[in-house]
Amino acid sequence: MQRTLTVSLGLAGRNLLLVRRVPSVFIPSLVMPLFILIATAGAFRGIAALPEFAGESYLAFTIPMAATMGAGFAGINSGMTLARDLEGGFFSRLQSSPAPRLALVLGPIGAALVRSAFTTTVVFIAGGIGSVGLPGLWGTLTVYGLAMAFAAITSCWAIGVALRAKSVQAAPLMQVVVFLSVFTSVAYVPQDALTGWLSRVSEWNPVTYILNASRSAELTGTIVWSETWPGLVAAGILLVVLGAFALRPLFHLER
Amino acid sequence: MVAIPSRVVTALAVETRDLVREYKGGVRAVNGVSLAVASGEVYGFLGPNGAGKSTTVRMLCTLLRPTAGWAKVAGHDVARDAAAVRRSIGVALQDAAIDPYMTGRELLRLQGVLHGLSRQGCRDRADVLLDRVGLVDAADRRVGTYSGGMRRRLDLALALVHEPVVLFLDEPTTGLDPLSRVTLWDEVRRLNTELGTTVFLTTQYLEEADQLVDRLGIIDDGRIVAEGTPRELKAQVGDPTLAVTPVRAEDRARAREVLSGFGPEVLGAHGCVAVRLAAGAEGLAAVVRAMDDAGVAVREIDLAEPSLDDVFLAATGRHLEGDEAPAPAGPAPAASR
Repeated sequence: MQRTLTVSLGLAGRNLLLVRRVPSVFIPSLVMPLFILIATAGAFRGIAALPEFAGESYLAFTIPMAATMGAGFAGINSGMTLARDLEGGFFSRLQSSPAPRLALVLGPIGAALVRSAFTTTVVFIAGGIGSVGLPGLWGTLTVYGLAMAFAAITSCWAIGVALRAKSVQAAPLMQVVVFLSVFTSVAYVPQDALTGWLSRVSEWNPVTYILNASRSAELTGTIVWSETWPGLVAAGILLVVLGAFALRPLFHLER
Repeated sequence: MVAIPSRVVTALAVETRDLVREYKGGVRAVNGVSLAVASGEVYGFLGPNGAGKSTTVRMLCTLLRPTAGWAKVAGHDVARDAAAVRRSIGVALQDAAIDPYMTGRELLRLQGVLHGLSRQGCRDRADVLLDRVGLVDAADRRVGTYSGGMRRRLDLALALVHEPVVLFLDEPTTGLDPLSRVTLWDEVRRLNTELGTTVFLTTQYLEEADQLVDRLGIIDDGRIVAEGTPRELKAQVGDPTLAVTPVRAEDRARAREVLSGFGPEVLGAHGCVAVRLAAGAEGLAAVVRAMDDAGVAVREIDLAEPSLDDVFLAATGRHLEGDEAPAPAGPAPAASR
């Protein structure tokens, strides 16, 4: 276990080093959530007048979504880095080493966690500039925690795709599923304000429950269990399912 | 079972039996390879592109599962005990798969982490290896700025981080200039002689196979078609060729007459008379004496062994493709043999 942790940290460190060395990869994934936060809060702030918003600031309402999107980008980037390593042969170096197989996946996930924490911090700072303060200790920790959980989930998805496709060409598939999962959830308005097929899809979309939990923490400044536990369950289920999706090909890669 | 040269000591470093790798669609990249490499040996796999060299190496490095047959590396089965194999081997695959955004030192330290070295151990080993492969000055530069030769040397250093028992080098000098190629050969030789590391390398360069390996397996179409030391293999093909160039053109007929007593005539370069020397290299002195006795003034005498390309030709019916190395073209001068 100690070895798995050491190797995971080493590989996470390498991924974060690449983020620093290749800013062109990182900056868009930082700017996009900020852009979504600013553009959405600016363009749609009027809809906060709807009774479903119960008088909440639309900027505060959007902060969890921007943090979640940032986490999604971090996860996708982990998959893309791994796909690049597979294509370029660097992954063969990792595979031919005695490093624990689990660490080859945990490393990139660890890097995604750090990146999502960084993006969440920047989103909170942007919220602060827009006069939305931090939602208290537990509220803040919950938003961070759920964003990081989403980063781990999307990492597992993107890594699973990368290990199967073994090519960066699979990047659009990694991205489109993550974007769709967020945009067909309660990303822009509460569940009650959604109508038609989108309402039905969002009810079944587990990201809805993650966002609701994060949003509840952001807006109330504390942990409201009735809103939080469905989010934790959804995140847990996604982690287990997509974790298996990511790990399975790793142990069969040489077949 | 393959015969092992007597100079090599104990257990087998690499052993395979009827190794097969079949891909979807029934294509057999490796089709029943059996070989044995003794500890401390430098074993080479020579063959054209697509012969099955890299696929064999990938199976031996646990990157690919054999479809049939078995293979053991450092005494461990590659399919059943892959983790133990990975602990024993160093691998430098084709195309030096090195992250261009990292520095040489960072990569060596990361490789140390992968092999379970302590933090201090990683640092120390990186320093030692950077010095060993002559990359101290470039250690903190990104690998993307390295030349092909530097990348290969770094790749070799990475494979040595944990002092492996068996080192696999897949076409280690492909694409390198002659100087970088010779530098790498020297390093491989040093590893083998000083540390006793068993080296298993693949190549498509005749000269590399000739210069570097103790024993050679010639692979074509997924099968080993010939195996032995380069000298043995060449000896199997036939006698060396002796080419004599008289000073005076009118002496060619007399030279031909003298040489006819030493072996059958073969086609030689313009201006020379060439025979297959039946007595081998040992017959050279007698030829010189006979020329002298016949009063033929000789400008040049060349004695050439059969090349590994001749060996490949004899085994497969065609020349080795893709040999781009600057191998000696004509017969080697007798004195340098």
